Amino acid sequence: MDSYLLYCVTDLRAVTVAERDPAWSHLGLYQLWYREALLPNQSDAPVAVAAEGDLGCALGWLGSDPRPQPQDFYDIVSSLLEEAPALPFRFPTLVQGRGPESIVLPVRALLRDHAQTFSAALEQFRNALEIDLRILDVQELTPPASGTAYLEAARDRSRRMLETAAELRSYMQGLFSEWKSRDTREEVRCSALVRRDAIAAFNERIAGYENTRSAKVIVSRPWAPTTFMNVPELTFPNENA
Amino acid sequence: MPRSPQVVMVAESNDPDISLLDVLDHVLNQGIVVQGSLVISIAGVDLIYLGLNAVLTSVETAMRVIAAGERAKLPPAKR
Repeated sequence: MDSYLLYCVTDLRAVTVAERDPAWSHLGLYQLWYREALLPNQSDAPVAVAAEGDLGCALGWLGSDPRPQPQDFYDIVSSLLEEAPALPFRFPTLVQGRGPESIVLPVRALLRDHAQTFSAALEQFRNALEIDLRILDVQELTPPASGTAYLEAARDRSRRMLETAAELRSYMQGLFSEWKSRDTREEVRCSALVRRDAIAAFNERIAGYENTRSAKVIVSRPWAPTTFMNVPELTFPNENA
Repeated sequence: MPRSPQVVMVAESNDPDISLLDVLDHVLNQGIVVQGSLVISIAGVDLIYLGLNAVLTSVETAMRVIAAGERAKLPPAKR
């Protein structure tokens, strides 16, 4: 039994694929090329693409004893994102079967059955990536004298972080198309949807941000825009079961 | 007294601990969700078990990273 890890759905017109052999091509399965070479995964197997129309699903063979690594998953999706829009699967989405045909046909059916959803999402994020901002309050707290004092301090801390988030959004206006915030109690996490050609300007402007609330902002790299994806939970078509 | 920077760019900081935690947060919590009914019928094995196993591996890695980070923050032992 072989295990395959599904990486992402992408636009076939934006990536480079190559035939491995006629048997694979007949199934609609190709190898992904990245920077003029095959892209290997954690098992040193080349990442493959199951093709259905203009849609492709990147997947990788993990062998018979799968231990999918999140860093490997992220690296492969990031490589693909350099050249094309990509809708990552939630890690780990594993498929098992005997031989590539048992995997490829249902994956192609998945692409076919949800082609409209995938195509719309790929179009929406064709030129956009996500930048995440974590806002932390780094003010030193004195041990609370009572439970009430603790709750008041926590409320003030949360308020300071939310004010910083609002200020940051206003400060970055014009450099993002969508913005989402959520309060996790420990920090406020913001995600900005940024055009690829505006990422350098976004980073440059945010590097100059200062506030008076002892808030620290951690900015992390461009990611696939998963926070903004609105793809419903999918099912494989039953006729392929 | 020098102030610590208010904005930290993780991608430029070469901080593998923060990066891995960020990666885990993104890949485990987000993305296309596919119900596994067909996957299970193809596999003939309990995919939930497989998924759980993989997630546990990730969590173990995360806990090692967190533990290493906490150790780094501890003050030197007093003699």
